[in-house]
Amino acid sequence: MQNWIVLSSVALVLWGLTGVTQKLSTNNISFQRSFVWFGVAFFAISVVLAFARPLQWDVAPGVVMLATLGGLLNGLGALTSFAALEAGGKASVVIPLISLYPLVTVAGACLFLGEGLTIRQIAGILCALVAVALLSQESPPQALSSPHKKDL
Amino acid sequence: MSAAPGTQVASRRFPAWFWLSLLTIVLWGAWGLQSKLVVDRISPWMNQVLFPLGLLPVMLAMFVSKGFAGGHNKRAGSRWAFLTGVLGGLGNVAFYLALLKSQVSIVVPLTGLFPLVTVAAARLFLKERINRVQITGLLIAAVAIYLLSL
Repeated sequence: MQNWIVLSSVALVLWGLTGVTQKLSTNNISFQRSFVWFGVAFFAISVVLAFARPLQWDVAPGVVMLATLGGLLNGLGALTSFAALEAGGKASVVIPLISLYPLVTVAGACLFLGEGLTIRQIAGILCALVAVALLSQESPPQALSSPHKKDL
Repeated sequence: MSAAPGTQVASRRFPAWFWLSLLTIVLWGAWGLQSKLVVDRISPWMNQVLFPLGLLPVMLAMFVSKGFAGGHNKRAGSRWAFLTGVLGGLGNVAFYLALLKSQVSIVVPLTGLFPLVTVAAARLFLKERINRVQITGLLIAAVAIYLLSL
């Protein structure tokens, strides 16, 4: 099997599992504490990467700011996703829902960066809007069972 | 002052988690735009190293917030949260390595289907069940992610 397929599959599985570990975290602690520990792990990985890979450190201050802004936006998104799971959203609904964020990226690139929309992207946007509507259709809670609140 | 009947219906119809999810979509959508601006100016590795600097102010704000102390099993919850960060970060590393060996137009749509793994894992480990309408939504979401990633 080709290397990129293995690596892509590893990314697919690891990212997929984060939805479950996020839910397990917010089943036990607040989203605020969850986020702090999530951030600590990212710092740890950054330190390992900084030592493990040759990096070009002479980065312009503006680019550093831009990269940091990326961390801020992603971090705030991670925070609201932790909060959504703590508020009772199921991992199997919240994660597919928030994964539709390219919808906003594509629309924003069209509006702010002057990029054109392809027919494929328009179809993707329409599918995303339908998916949001369908994923929000939660069944009424049943009195005696709350399967997504299992603590491990 | 009580809320108008329509507002009450709307808040019942769309629970807090739904609005928080939509807010996540907007924030990560903006992050996607930022990624478009930064991608040609910095290596993905350096970007990953600098990335946590942006997390820092939010982490500090959460650390001093009242909610930080909440929870009934802090050790287990913290471990799961830390593992979330590790899995997410290592997933990013595998993703960047895959990009080095193949084309963006193949790797991005493939890895974008990770919510399907979440749904399978949530069924296995959390015993979560979703209804038929949501399963349809999930499949359409997978198509949407695929189309938007190309």
